[in-house]
Amino acid sequence: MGTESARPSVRCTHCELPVPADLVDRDGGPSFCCNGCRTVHATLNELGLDGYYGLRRTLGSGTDVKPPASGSNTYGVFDRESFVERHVQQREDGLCEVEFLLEGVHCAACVWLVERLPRAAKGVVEARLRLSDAVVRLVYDPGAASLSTIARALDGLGYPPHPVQGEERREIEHRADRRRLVRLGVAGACAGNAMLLAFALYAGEESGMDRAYEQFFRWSSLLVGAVALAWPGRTFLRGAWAAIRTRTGNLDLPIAIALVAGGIVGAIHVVRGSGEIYFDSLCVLVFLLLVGRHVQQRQQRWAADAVDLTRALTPLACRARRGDETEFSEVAVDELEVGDVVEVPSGGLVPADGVVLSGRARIDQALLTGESEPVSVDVGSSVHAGTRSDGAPLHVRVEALGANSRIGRLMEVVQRGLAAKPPIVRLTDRIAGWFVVVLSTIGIACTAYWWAVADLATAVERTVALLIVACPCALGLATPLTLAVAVGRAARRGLLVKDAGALERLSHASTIVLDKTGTLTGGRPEVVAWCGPSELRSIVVALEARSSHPVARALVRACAQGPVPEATDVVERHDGGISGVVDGRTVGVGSPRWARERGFEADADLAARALELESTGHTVVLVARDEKVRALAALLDAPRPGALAALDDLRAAGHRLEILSGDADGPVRRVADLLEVPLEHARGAVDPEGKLARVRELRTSGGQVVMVGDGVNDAAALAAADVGVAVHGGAEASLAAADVYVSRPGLEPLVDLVAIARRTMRTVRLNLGLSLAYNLCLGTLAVTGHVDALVAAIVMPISSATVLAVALLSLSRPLGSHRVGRTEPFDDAVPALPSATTRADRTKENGDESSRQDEVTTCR
Amino acid sequence: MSTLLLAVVGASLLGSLHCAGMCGAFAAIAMSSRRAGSCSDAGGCGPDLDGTSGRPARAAALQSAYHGGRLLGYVALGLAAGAAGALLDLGGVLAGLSSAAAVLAGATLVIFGGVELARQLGLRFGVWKRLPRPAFLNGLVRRATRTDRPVTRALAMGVCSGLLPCGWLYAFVVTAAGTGGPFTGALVMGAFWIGTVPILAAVGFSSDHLRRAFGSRVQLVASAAILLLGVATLVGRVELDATALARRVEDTAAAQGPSETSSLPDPAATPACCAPDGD
Repeated sequence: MGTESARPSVRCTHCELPVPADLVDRDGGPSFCCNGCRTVHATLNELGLDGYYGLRRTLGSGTDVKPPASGSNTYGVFDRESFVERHVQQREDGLCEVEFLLEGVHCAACVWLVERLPRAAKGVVEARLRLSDAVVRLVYDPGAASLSTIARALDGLGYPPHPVQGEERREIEHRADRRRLVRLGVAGACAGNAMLLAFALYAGEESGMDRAYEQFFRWSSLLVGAVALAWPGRTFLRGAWAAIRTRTGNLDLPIAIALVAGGIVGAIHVVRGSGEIYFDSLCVLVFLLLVGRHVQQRQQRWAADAVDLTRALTPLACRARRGDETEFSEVAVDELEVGDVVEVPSGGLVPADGVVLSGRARIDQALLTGESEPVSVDVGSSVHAGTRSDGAPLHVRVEALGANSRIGRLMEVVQRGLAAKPPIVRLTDRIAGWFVVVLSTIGIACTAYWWAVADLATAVERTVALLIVACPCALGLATPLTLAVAVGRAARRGLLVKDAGALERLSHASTIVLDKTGTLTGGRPEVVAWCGPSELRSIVVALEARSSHPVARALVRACAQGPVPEATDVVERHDGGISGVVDGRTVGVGSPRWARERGFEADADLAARALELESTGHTVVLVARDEKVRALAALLDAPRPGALAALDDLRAAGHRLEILSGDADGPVRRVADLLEVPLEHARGAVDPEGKLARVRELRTSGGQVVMVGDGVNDAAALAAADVGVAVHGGAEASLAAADVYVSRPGLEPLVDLVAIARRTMRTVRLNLGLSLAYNLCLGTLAVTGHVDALVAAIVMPISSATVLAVALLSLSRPLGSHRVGRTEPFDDAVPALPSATTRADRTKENGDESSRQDEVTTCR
Repeated sequence: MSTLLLAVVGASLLGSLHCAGMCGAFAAIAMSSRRAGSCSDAGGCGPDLDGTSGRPARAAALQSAYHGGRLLGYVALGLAAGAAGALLDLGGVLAGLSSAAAVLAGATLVIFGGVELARQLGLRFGVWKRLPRPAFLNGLVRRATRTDRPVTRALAMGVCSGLLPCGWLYAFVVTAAGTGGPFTGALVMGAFWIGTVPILAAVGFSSDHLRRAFGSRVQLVASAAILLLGVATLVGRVELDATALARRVEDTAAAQGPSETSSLPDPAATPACCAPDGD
């Protein structure tokens, strides 16, 4: 038979037996005598067990073994320096943070599972999974675990991790989608076939089928059922296994128990040749459950898009030109790449961070900087995503996109806030944990009862229905989802909420500490009284026309009427006044101190008026002609229109108001008076340290404190308060200390914020109630046998759809309109003498441009 | 049936040198005594593969765990294959074919063994598209090697052996399917297991000597054994079938017997009318 010449000389890389010439690898790679050897070889290599070959060599059987190629599934890449540099963030406490995109995340149960990772993998300190985009944020100790071991642990739980990257991410989602659809298809085919076989069997029972046919159909059902359980049904089995390993209850566990129990009982009956086989129900169940999951996934992706903050604040499509193209064409912003040139039309949102190549415009970047005044941009200026352009169309070269853009990084902060669980979410988690325990107990009781009362088949059927219908998905989904939607809605209103827990706290009655400037008032003085001959008004305008001082702007606004004479020799020394020559006469406008220093005299009436006005918080400006004071203007940093109504709203919501301001006591008390805040709750001349002390004092006295202030100057007080709301200072800086950043001026956003918070918590409670009630009702029906497993599987996704719909709908209703119509009274001004006050040195000018012209009272 | 089982044990014993080569690695992992978590400077982490297991009692425990695991895996395969064979048989009966599973299994084995044999003799068939490697196997083996308890590890490695896509192993699985019943299938795989125990138990002692002694003839012998096994399946089933057929006829007769005998006149007996008077 076998001749020496026919014997091949190549030996199997694994077992060292000769490889038939037919199977020798022609490219010189490793050759194997059989598929089994190839598999073992690859497995050993991938698991790093290839030391086996070296060992065998030293034992002396000796052929050369090629060094193994590194495996692809060991996540060895994750330990490379370049990878760590790119994806891992060092924390100050020596721990590291990393984010992975997980495959196979499908519902709230996965969140519980993944977050038990610290139990399953040594060195992992914390794991937080965002369900909306399946990204897990891990905190780990680099000394105790390498990234690859953590990645393998995640893989072992059934969630292969991937580094988070835009392109790759879409690819992975795509692949996971495809796999899900294939599973769905297989499950569908199995269900269809199993039903057909079941029909045949039922029909046969009626008409008396041949025994052989019946047996054939029963065995075929077994085959189809086995395929359905082993392939599409594996999703549940794997989930259950992971739950067992991490010793957590999850939804897959009861389903898997039901499937396995049904499968085993059915198989035994098939082999015995008699008794009920459950394969038709099992197949249909697997199919329906997968359909439910698919629907849920869709809903979740839809919800994720709805709350994707960066997307909400940047346009979805834009006109762009790529490479050496000359024409602009419409592209989705998702498809933009760094280096593309985008065209931003007048009034359009900038889609990405970049540099202006051509065009001039003014950019409103209030969202980022809090600066309501648009900034002029020219060729070479940087513009940021999410800001609004006004002017000529801009051509912008893209430099950073999506998550890498300034707004993207900002939203990252906000999203992290969502991942850090606010108390209400932790409460829901606890409820859900208990829910699983209670459910299992009821399940066991249900089985025992029906087995005793009826038979095993009834018991199994009802328990399975119960376990499926009582899916805690809605329960687990409701709260985080509602909060995410709320944060998204708030962002669209210019309210960036960093900590979702702030919404919960804001919904309770608390003491709201308000800063005066820029919040209660426009931060911009307005002329409220004029005493003196009105022909002097045109002189004031002539002098102040070119000054940029807030007081000068206010004077010009108030006095501009009729022809303006020419002013010459205008001198502005920034010492509290301005002087010049109009119509050949020397004139001057300035503070009382400025006037006194120059020796300008005023008559007694005017001086008394000035004193009185100053004592009531006005800023007084004197107008002199021919070195004598002839008129005075009184200015007020007046409360914003609607401020009183807004405060009334807050008071109606049960909040106590307090004003703390760095401004002088007089103006603060005046504003407090106008806004009906008790004077004992209004304090002026409080420095940032004083505000911090007051916040602490209020907190120790037991109440909850909401601090509204400047994101930079009042950072300490904002951080010390239960909820810090920053109204100035730029979003990035503010959110370091504050929980909420308000990018719109005025008090309405604050009222909106409180309204959103209250509505959010109402929705959370409603959703919790809904899902508990749903579970209670249908659970009861299932136990009593009024809902069978198949109906349960159909109803299950409806519950989470309801929760989702409630969250989205209730939060997208417009907020209630503010009460308007209350007028803000102003004191009549009386003439007074000049006294020693300078112009209030106000540099902040945060009022909205569309100012109203307050009626200026004039002296008789 | 017993003939087939004997043939299986024999074939398995003859071809088991192949097992020593292929599964030797798994056996070595199973026999290693070190804990999974410990790392050495040179060899990285995971079980070491020195094949020494310390105390004899411990080695025996590991051996029995590993082989027990293999037995479990094989028997499970045999059950599944036998069930599939039963289904095939039922379908065959409905289609008017008898012993479809046996015929199909036998033919498969004969073709497979023939091809392998021809390959060993230098004939070329070309390589078919390589089977994809079962992805779950990696995960299972990885989990198995990570375990801290050596006995569990040995058991798991044994179970994993049954999942290797090895032609030799699946030749016996096909044989099991050919028996057309889950229990007979399990029996066949049990017989296969018996044949493989001696050589795999010897891994770590001196299987190299054996291998040198047999050289390339191992595969030749194994291929021939598969071919013969195919023939045995065909013939064995036919035998089995004949007895079964006979039994069925008897059953039918037994079921119909009493009523028929009472209604039909006995040809041997003289009708009552014609009977002579009883004196």
